[in-house]
Amino acid sequence: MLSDTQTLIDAGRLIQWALRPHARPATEEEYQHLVDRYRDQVPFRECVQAICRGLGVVVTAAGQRGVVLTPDDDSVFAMTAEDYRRSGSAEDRLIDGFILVAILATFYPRAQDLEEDPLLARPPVTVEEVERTLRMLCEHLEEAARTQPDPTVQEVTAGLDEAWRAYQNRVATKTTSDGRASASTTLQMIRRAFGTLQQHGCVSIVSRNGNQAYQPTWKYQVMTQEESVARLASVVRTLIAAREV
Amino acid sequence: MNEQDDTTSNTFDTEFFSEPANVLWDAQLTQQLRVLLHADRLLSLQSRDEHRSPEFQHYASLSLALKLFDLIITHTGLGQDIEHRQAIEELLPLLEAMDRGAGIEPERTRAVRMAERVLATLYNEEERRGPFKLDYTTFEQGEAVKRTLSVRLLEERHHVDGRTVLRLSNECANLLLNALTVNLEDAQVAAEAIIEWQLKRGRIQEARGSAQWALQHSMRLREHMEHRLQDSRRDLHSVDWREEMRHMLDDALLHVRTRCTVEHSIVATAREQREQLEPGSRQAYQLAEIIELIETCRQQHLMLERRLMEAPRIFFEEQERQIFTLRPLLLFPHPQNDLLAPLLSLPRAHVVQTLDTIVSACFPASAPGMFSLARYLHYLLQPRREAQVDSIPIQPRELIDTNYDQTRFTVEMVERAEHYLAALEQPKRLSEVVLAAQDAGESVAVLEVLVFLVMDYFDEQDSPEPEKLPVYVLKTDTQQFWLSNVAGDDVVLFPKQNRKEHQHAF
Repeated sequence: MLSDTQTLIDAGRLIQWALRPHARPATEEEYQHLVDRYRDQVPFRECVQAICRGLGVVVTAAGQRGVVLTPDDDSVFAMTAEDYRRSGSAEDRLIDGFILVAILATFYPRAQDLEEDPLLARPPVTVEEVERTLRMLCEHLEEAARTQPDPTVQEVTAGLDEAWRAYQNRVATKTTSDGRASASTTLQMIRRAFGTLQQHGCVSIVSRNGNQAYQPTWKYQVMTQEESVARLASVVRTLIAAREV
Repeated sequence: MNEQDDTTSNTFDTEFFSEPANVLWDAQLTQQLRVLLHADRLLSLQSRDEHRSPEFQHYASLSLALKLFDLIITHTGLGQDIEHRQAIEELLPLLEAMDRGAGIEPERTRAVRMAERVLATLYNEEERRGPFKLDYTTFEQGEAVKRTLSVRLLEERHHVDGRTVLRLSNECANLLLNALTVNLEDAQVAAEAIIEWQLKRGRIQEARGSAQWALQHSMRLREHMEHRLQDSRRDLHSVDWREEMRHMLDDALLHVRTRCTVEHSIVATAREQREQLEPGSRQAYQLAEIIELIETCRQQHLMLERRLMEAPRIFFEEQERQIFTLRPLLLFPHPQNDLLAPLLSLPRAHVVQTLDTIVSACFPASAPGMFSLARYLHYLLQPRREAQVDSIPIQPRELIDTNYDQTRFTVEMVERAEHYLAALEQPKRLSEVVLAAQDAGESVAVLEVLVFLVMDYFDEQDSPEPEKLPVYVLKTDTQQFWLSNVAGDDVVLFPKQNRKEHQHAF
């Protein structure tokens, strides 16, 4: 059954509110009203979900803390590696990808953490903790690779060497000639990742024991637990299957 | 709820007992045991104090924890909830008093570290904020059974306004204010107990905040129910409809009706208290707010009741929809071992191809940027921001003459390159001059300077003193050159003194 014009307008308004990273129903009367309507009126909910399907996004959660929309891979609302870093080498983008997954893995160090109620705030993590997560894994992989022959020049040129080497070869800290921290170091790239996540309302900055740390928001926790992990697992499964063929 | 978390680890044979254990062991004793176990974690704070480093041993963690709990209960309510940072600040005066009591000079850094430690212990940071696991023995059906109780004391929760606030777990709130009860609905009981406690003591401002908390709990209960219904939509098998959901729906319906009665009672108490206050006073106004909030709670419960009535229909719809679909895998992968490590170990080129999916999975949907001419015009037309010259004193700067250009090539390099141009006696192509310099063993930098100088001399009008240029540069044809370091148009360089003589030759 076709929805009336006003319902469609309201559905569009709700989607627009959901796309504002820092908007919250508690502080926006219209948003609150539309979220209540989404939760209470089945036809309105179905209308919103149908529009979202058309836009290539999924309503992952809707509640008093807002509406969380997660994009399909090919949606215009999905962030791409190029959106994330407008200029930079393929290696920079590769490291960016690892950092984003490492942030998730540092927020959720165990599988059972993903089963927790997303209303419970996960403990904050620092840039250095994410760096440690990645360096530690790289060291383990390097240790395992010692018994294997080194990659040949042809393999490196074709990009068939293991991806961890890209992170391993990148320095953690470096200063520019005028004394500023170089943007191409891993620590700066992790800081940049947290900055972008903060812009998207996914983390907030807190201070713990005198250090700056980043705590995931409800939106990030819901998104991770409901969508991100499953999608990343699917990517990994596909890549492993492709390698084994 | 915690009973579901309990895990049986061992069962003992009871044949050595002269009478069945269930005669010896009242179920109420298990309840009391669990209450004591909750207190155990708090009391363990006391014993930890002795094992701290000497500079922290004079601090009493248990006292700090109780003060913290009191702060949380007092501040709980929409807009008043206490955050981690505020809690630290509130504990500092106590820590300072403890310093003075021990004859130690107070120090803020040390006090903050101690407060952070207390909070970390209550969060159970050692287990990444997982619940405390406590083993105990109970007796069921005549058998001794070992069980593990999961206990949380302090939590950080995402508030509706986006802040992350401190909350007592339901068990902890009940431990401090009430008898311990363990299911979700008891969060509501805890909230109501706090309101009544505050009303009785005339702490109306706090009661107002707590009434808002009660509203929150009503909403949370509704969210919990909807979450379970959503789980059913995602995977019917994740919810036990035969036992768990049926009981939960029955209990929830009973709870909703009971809560309506209790809320009516609280409203009556608040109205009674309001009659004792001066009409129009601030406290009377706050009580009116409490009454309104509790009424909102009732509305929430009525909406919840409607959802509860709809629940069986959702079950049947989902059963019909999912009966022929494959059951999805419910086990979560280990983020480090199952996601990050495999990605790192895969070939670089393969991972690069999936980067878009990886990045998009880590961000929520975001609106793509679109150019707006109207907004751009508005930006261009906005008045220039006036400098507030008086707000920040600006020190007059001492200006000096200096050259800010960063030179890539040294003076010596430039002189060497100029020498090749000045030494020309016959017209030559640029490639010949560069080759001559290259054969003479000049560095790449000198060759670059040579090419840049030729580019600079190409248009005489650009030079402030064209008559002083050593050569004229002319592009006589489309001939190109390609050497190891430089490439481009192979222009002709005429020595200045005999330009016209040789120009016709080209």
